[in-house]
Amino acid sequence: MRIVWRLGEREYAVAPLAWLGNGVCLRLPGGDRVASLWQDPDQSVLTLDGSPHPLWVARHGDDVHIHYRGRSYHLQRLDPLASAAAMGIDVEGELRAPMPGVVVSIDVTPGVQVQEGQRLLAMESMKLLSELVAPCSGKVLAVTVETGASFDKGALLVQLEPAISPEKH
Amino acid sequence: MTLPGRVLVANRGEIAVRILRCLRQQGVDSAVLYHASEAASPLLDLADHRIEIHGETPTAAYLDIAAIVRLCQQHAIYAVHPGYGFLAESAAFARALTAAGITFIGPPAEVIELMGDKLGSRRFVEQHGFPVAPSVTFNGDLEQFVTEGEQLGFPLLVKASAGGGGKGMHIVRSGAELRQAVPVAVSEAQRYFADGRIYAERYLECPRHIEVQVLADQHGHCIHLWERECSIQRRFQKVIEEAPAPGLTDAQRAGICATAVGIARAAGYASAGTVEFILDQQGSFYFLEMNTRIQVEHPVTEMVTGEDLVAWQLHIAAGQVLDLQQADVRLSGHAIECRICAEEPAADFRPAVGTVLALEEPMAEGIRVDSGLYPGQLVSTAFDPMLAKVIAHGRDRAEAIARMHLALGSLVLLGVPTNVGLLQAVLELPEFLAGITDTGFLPRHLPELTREHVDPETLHVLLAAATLGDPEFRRASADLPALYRRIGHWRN
Repeated sequence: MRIVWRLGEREYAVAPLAWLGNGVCLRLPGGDRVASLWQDPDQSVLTLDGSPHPLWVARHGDDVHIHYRGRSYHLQRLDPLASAAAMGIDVEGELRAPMPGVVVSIDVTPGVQVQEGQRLLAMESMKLLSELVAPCSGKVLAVTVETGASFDKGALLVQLEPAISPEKH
Repeated sequence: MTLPGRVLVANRGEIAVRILRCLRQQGVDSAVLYHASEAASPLLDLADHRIEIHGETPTAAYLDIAAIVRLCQQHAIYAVHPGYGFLAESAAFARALTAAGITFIGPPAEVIELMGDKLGSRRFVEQHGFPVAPSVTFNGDLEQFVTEGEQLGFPLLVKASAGGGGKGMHIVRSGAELRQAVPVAVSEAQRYFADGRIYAERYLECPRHIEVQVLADQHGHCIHLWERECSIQRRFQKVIEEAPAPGLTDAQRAGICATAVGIARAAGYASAGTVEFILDQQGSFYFLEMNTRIQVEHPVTEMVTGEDLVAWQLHIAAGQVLDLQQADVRLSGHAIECRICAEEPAADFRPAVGTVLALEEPMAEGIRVDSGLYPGQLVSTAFDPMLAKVIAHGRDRAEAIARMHLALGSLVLLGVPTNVGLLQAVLELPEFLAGITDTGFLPRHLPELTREHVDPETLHVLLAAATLGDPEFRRASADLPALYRRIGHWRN
């Protein structure tokens, strides 16, 4: 088996190879290490090639949060299939909310042609007013929210039909 | 002597905890408001009574003056402490309470009104002979406004008259930019503050934000508790505050503090308040605004003076004499506060959400944590992103910074993205350590402050810990072959 983790902008694969007397041999980027994890509701201890590393680990679905040596890290477990989508093969034209918020105003209606960079709607999350702009030129197929409506992160806001650009064929 | 009846805390989160603790210490009967979304918060246990409020949104519930006054009457409330935010600077709320025979723990409604209007307060301060930054007011004539703006000289900062909290501010560097900013600023001012009046003032490049804590009683006695430096800001909102302000000369410090007391006296202030100034690179300072409430950053002043500002607010609201003389306010050491916010600094400080999965707050000498956090808490965008404050006190600035750095490292807060990594990075910057701070500090250093660097050994620790605790790995691990021979660098 192989587990892929995302940390920041990068992805890393980890493959467990075998049980050893005192842990599991893991194939990590840059080398194989023998690891064991002693877990407690609070603090855990990871032993790596015999050296103990106290840390805090909290899991929530595919998200793993670790506090180690004074810093916090967020790792995300990637589904090997879904990670292909995460690498850019996205459903084109689906504009989703980058953060939870409220729709302040809507500038477009279904059917209109928009240019790349044109403002589609304005939204607000707490004190931050931001704009959703067209990532490419095209036609607005649907606006799935109303002015004043609140939405969660990842909610579909606007659906675009991207214009076929000549250089892309 | 303190207040003779039940005191309601009309707030939530860390400031509610702060005020409830003070009430408990003083033996005052206490009550606190809560919305159903936070009914599980252990902070409610700090109050003798809890009162549920309702609203279309949780925030709306905390802003419903009529409902809160009615609840006060039903629950025999003698006085209300508004904390900061929500109704803390609402003259209408203060008046409604007074009309119902309930004490508002804060200044008189007229002073809130005077200082709540930026244009009005600037005019008032100027008339009393105190310095304000040069400005022009928008009276509806765009051409005239742009012409006057050009005469004043760019860059200008466009602000809402009724504004606050960094909302609706725009820096413009030309007549064309000013022309563009006016309709946006007016509409923002209308939306946020229901008051479309705006003005533009000379924008000082890289000024420092210095503010003075004042205390005044209802009998005309007014003193200051020295200044705070709050220049480390993002989006015009403070992130790190300290006291005293590094690098001020004794003359500057005395001048700015005396000015603050002069303004508070002229306004007929009573309670704890803060007069904010900007200090330019030439050492001149200008009145910015006065905040007629307890401020988020009040603990740094408490740490260096040893005074309990909330206790003084209660004392003053009870009509008592402020029996503290200016000469008795002594500074001891240095204090720094870091605001812990649910946000993603690398993504333009976008507010973040999540569930508090693990929580351990630092405990050490010279460390104070003001927090309303609890394990399992759902952090949503319903409220302000500030979750907690860590305050460090030391004999000098270097010791306070060192203690803060250790404290932030031992703060475990997992499950919600926060700005803690950014705060740690700020504390490591040579420029910060040297006390060279201005309001452009954070934007200027942002790329280096948000650079992610994970060394190879740390990466192995993180990946191994994540993998070994993974449920799928645990299920599949029984099928792994067992190896009993020595491999690699593993030894007996």
